[in-house]
Amino acid sequence: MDEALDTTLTVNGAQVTRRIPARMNLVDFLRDELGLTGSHVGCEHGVCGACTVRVDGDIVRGCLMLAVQANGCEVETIEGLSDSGELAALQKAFHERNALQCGFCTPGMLLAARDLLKHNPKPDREQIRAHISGNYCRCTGYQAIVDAIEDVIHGQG
Amino acid sequence: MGKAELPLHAPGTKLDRGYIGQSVPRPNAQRLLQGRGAFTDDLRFPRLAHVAFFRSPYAHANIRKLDFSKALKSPGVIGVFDGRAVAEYCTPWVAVLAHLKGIKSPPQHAIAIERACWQGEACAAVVAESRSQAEDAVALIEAEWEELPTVVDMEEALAGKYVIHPELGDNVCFKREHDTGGVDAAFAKADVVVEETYGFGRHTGVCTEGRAIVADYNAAEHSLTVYHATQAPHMMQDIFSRHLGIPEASVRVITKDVGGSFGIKVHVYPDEMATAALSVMLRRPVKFLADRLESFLSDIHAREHRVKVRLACTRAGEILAFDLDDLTAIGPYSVYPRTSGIEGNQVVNLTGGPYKHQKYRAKMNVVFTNKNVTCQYRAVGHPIAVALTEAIVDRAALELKMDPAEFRRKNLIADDAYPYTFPSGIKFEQLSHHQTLQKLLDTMKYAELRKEQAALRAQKVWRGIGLAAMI
Repeated sequence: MDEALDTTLTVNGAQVTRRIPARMNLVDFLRDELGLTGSHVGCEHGVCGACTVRVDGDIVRGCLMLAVQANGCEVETIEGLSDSGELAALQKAFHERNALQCGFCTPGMLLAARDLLKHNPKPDREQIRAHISGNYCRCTGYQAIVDAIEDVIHGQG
Repeated sequence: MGKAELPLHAPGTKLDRGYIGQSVPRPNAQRLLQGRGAFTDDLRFPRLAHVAFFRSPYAHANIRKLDFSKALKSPGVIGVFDGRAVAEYCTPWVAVLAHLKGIKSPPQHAIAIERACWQGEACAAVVAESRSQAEDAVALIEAEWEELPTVVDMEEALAGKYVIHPELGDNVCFKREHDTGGVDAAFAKADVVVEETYGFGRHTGVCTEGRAIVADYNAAEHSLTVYHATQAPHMMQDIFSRHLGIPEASVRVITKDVGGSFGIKVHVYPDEMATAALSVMLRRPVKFLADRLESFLSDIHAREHRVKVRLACTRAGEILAFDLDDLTAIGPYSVYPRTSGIEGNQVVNLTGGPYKHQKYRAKMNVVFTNKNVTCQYRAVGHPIAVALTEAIVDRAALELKMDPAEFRRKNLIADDAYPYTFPSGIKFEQLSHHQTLQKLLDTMKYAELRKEQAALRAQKVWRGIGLAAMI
């Protein structure tokens, strides 16, 4: 458990090199070592989706991937995807539909929604629901979340 | 004099109607949407230490011995503390309230001393430079336990063959009884009496963000700043002041973004009190986050009830009386400071509430058990009261072979009857159950749904239609 590995990865476009304990989760590394606290830790066992980040283009659970496994990878978080504008339409629609209450699940929810739209620009409501089914919202805002994603699909976001 | 210049128009709206009826985007949502919120675990502090708790693996056991020698040698460990050490800095509490007559509970410490009363109760604390180092050291604590008999069944708790806190005399935390009189007579003359016993399993809130606290004691000022994911910062200011011996004006509780609460984060948690005490002891900021597994063991639970309920009515469908006996278990301590007596109190105050019968008897026993504690959670007591009421009302309608909506219409308190005092003594104001029921039946197309239900039943599709009134 004391073993650490030199790891180089790109996070939101910037290269970082750190000596990372082998047991450290990717989301803990992003939060605690890099200060990127937008990815949240909800369940620590891959259920809630609050820690969703993007690694080499695919969304992953930041709590189920070790940080050292990201060696050589391109990691993107809510902060980077906000700044690049990639999430702008979804963020606008979420805001207008009030598709968030406490906001804890929101970064993961946005990354999951963006991932769906990347692969399927015209999903129906059931497909949206299925795709975000791994992202828990405990304030029970799913209706508004699906509405917001639909707004983006229909160009209203 | 001109009209007051108040900003009556929602920014960004075109209609000249003011805020009423407008959907106003929340300004504070922007930072949450960009992952730039400030949840407690997002905050950064110099010299921050992390605490992890050694929790009882037993529901009830004496702590014969705690050996910290290996834990203390674990990398990154700053200190390991038992209940006695923390009690030097944090006084125990007793969760009773004057208006709940007769409620009793034993003193509870931040960290258990001598005895653990539920599986998951914190029995020692490890503070380390990182959370993972603290958890490593927790695993190195060696304990000698003496298992004690456990009381986990409510009926057994009430019977009191084994008393969890002998100094209290029995396992009853709180009891209450309403009786308008005339209930037995109403049941004797009733055409129809229905009776059921309903059981309710425990619920809990499961906030996506676990409980979170950073306590930052300033030894030079004898002041405490607490960043706390709580629903009640002002209450907590008083509590920290009271139990840590710091003047209230020197205690500051800051609540930034909170990732869901639902009633879970409105109570005093022993591990959070211990965190504040540890900050005082170590003179540096200390953080505690309840991880998911310990949230299940230590966040308040709610709604464990077993209730026998009876309803008396006439053949014509007039409800004459309700009679119920509620048994509810709250774990080994009443939860500070709101107590664990309120939920049951609501059940006996509100069951049968929407209906106009005048005879009412409701008995309640709140008992101690060796399970995690329970307290108020979302719509305190209402889900139990509504479920009991409407389930037994449906049973009566079935017995009378009367349409459940019609049976309710006959018995709902008239819309012009307010102010109205329910037989439990609770006062109702300006309710409109009849209007509401009619609107609901129209909206759901009740008559059509009933026809469809009958047609489907012939095809062996069992569709249910449920109605519930809530106060």
